[in-house]
Amino acid sequence: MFRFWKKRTRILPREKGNPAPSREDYAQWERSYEADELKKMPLGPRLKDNLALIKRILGNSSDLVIREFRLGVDGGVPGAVVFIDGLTDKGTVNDTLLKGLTLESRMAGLGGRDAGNIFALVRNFMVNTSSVREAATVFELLDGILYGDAAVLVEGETRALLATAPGWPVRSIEEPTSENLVRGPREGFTELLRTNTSLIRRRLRTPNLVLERITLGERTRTYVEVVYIRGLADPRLVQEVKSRLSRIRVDGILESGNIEELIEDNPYSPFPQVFRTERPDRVVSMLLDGRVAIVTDGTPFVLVVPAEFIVFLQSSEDYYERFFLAIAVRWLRYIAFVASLILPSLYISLTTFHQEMIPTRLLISIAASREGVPFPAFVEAFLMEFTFEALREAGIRLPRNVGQAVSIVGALVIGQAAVSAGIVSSLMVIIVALTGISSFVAPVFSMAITMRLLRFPMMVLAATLGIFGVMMGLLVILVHMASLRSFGIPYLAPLAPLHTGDLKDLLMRVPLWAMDKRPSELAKGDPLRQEEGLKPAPPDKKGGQG
Amino acid sequence: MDRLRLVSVALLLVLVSILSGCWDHREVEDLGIVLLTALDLAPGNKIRVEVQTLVPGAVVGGGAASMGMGGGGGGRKRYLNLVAEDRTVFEAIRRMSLEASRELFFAHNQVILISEKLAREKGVTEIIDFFARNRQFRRDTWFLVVRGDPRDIMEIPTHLETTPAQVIMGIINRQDLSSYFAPTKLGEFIKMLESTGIEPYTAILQLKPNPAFTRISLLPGVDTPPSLYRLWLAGAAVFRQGKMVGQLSERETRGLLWVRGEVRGGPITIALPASQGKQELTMEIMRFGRGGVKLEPYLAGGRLGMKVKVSVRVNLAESQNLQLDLNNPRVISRLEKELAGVIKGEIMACVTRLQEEYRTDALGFGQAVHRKYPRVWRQVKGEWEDVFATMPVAVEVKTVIRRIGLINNPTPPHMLEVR
Repeated sequence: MFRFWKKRTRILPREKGNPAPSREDYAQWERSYEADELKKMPLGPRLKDNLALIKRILGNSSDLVIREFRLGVDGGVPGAVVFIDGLTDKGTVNDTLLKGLTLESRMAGLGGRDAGNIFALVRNFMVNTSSVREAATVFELLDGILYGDAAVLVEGETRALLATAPGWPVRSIEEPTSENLVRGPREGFTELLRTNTSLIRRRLRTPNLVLERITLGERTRTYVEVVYIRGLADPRLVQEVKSRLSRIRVDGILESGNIEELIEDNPYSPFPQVFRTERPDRVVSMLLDGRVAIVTDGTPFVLVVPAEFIVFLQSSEDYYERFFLAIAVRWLRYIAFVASLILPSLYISLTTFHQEMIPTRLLISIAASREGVPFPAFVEAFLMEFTFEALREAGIRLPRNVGQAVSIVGALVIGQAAVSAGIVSSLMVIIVALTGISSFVAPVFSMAITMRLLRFPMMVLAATLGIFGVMMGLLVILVHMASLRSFGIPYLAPLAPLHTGDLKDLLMRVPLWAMDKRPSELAKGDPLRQEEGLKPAPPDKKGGQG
Repeated sequence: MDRLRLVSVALLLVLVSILSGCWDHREVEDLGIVLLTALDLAPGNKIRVEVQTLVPGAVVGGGAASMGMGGGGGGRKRYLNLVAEDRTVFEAIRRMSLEASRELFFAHNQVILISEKLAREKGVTEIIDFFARNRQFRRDTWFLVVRGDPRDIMEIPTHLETTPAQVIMGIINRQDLSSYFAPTKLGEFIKMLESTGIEPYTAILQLKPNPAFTRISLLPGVDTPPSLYRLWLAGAAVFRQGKMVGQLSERETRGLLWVRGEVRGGPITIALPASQGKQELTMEIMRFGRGGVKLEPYLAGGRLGMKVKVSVRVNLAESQNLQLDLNNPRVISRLEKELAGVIKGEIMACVTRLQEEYRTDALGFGQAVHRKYPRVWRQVKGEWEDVFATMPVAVEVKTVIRRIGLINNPTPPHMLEVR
């Protein structure tokens, strides 16, 4: 999309020994630098040149800080600390970098005699941050600075030191807003990659938890971590995830949704094939199934693959509450899910084609409520659904205080005025409200959206072909779902290639002590989750145990 | 190019479905929902069809139209009766569209009424073809005979229900409280009509002076006076060769229902000697059903006979006889014996009436013979009417009194306590 911005300018031969900016230099300031080009650019031995180069490449940006100093005694060796204001913590730079470099180097008596050794001395004795890397090319240097590292350059060295001193603004860990639970941890992911991985790591202390970093986006250079448990995740799956990720060549990754669209199996399907969540506990439980998580820097939404259909209808609370409730809630969800798809179309088809299928008394009240309504049922339903969707959209985008006003106006306008004006029937309002409520029951927003979208073609089918059309629509959806795959796993996984053993977590949610196997399509290496015989029981009285 | 082709194919598919779809599309509010259909004989060998359609807006308050106007549909009449005459039923129904603003919709028709005149003179065989052939009429529609003009019944004032059709439905649904009438559904009627060895029967609907009516009701100040007439379902109309030949009384009808195994409840009274002559006890029949009756045909000397075995359980509902000691099992068994006699009387009354007067086998004896003696049946099939009329029938009734209610012995006034 943004490709046309990218101008592939050819590299110009750099003029040597002429530090004063010439016309060509000005021309260079205005051109862009590509990664490939920067990777080929080595650092020079002269500090001045290097600093000028950095300045030039960064376009002399106002947040670039270059602090020059002298190292050691006797006039010392010139050096400089380079970092981006705001990304790097100034306190750390002051306390651990500059202090060491200026004061301690003088106390150590660093001088001209150390000329060839100076870099190692700086690295080993004077830079006190925990993580230090070396950069040999301009590219590496800039990549570090732009992530938040502070770079130390010393005269006569063709390398630079990158000291980690992150100081970017962060949001604290809060409760995830899109997936609320009554019972369960309240922590949610934040925008910071490191925080997110630490939230996962803290819940999974196994040494087999592997994080592999990939940088995506030619300009955003977003860090992405592929997270999986060695021994549980199928190595081929991990390989596939990595290869799909490495295929991505885009300008920018702003949200994990960008990645999702670029790695899903069938981009034309309305069904989501990648799971996303804000909850670390959900990610961990899916990792324990043998799935692979993709953590993206800059977004609290973590992707998990493969994601079969049923995953989108399950909530992590299903496993935190006792299983009776979980089973009931799960079935409630299934029913609501189907209702959110076909309720309006069923209503349309019944009232316009199959009146004989409605119980007499219900038919009478439907007929009475439709008396005087000027539109056919389909138009009525479409109108109401449209209004409802518009209201919902308005409610989300508006500031919270105004959002309430919208819902009041909506409820009044739709619920009361439209009915009493005789434009829509009261029964239609009930149907739309039921559908709306049902669509909110889906625990994952992306699946709710799918149902919401599919509802409209279903309504058209119902209005043209009646129940026959509805069945056709359902059949097409079913066939499509059966043909889908998410990272090699059939989308209707435990159902369509039937794994009867996995139905214990689909038709119901068996108690945890009976859930001893992982999903059979995943975790083929280690299918057993736990030992058998974990069912709790009171101690045997005859055995004399207390 | 490929994509263009794909898009055009998809577009064509959508267009095709829109073009061909909707052709039988009709909105609910465009339907005249028929609840009752009645057939009568009209002059000139025509059939008069009368239908009762519902006016939904007047029935349910709170509809879109009535909401702003105080709800409840005001004082509009809640049903509309349409009448048309023609040579065939279908022709007459289509003739109604000349005067009805809505398409008549029969899928929710509850009752089909046949006037007695039509049933007796023309018979039901010809007219029932339409109902069997039409896809809107359900097989579980009640099929009844009406005494008098069906139009009267269709205009009877209703209070509890919305339309007369629903009143009829309500009475039929409460049939298990009396078992004094024998309604039949359309499908069942057709089945009985077309099979040999059984003749159809169904209940008779008629008007009856309203006993609740008093002159006081007509005085000014009384809200709405009760109607002079009430709907009343009683007895059974029996048919032979598709024509109605007669009717059974309440007692005979229950006899019929005993044999058919369709008694689902109702009171049954016996009288036992007490201090002041005979005094009554009433039992309530417990769910009886088809398993309680056995038809056992037998051959004796080349002659067909029929043994009817009935076993029934009852509860004591009321005892006006104060002398009985209901704690005594021997008294109970005496009651049981007495009761068996009454039931036997009901059955025999029915059998005698059918054999001697109407000569029609509404009891289904023919089917029982067919099942047990297929060879014999083939011989007697042709003259079954005569064979049935003369066949000996024996009835055997076994009764059990299960419960006698909350009290054991009747509460006697203390005068009798001395005894």
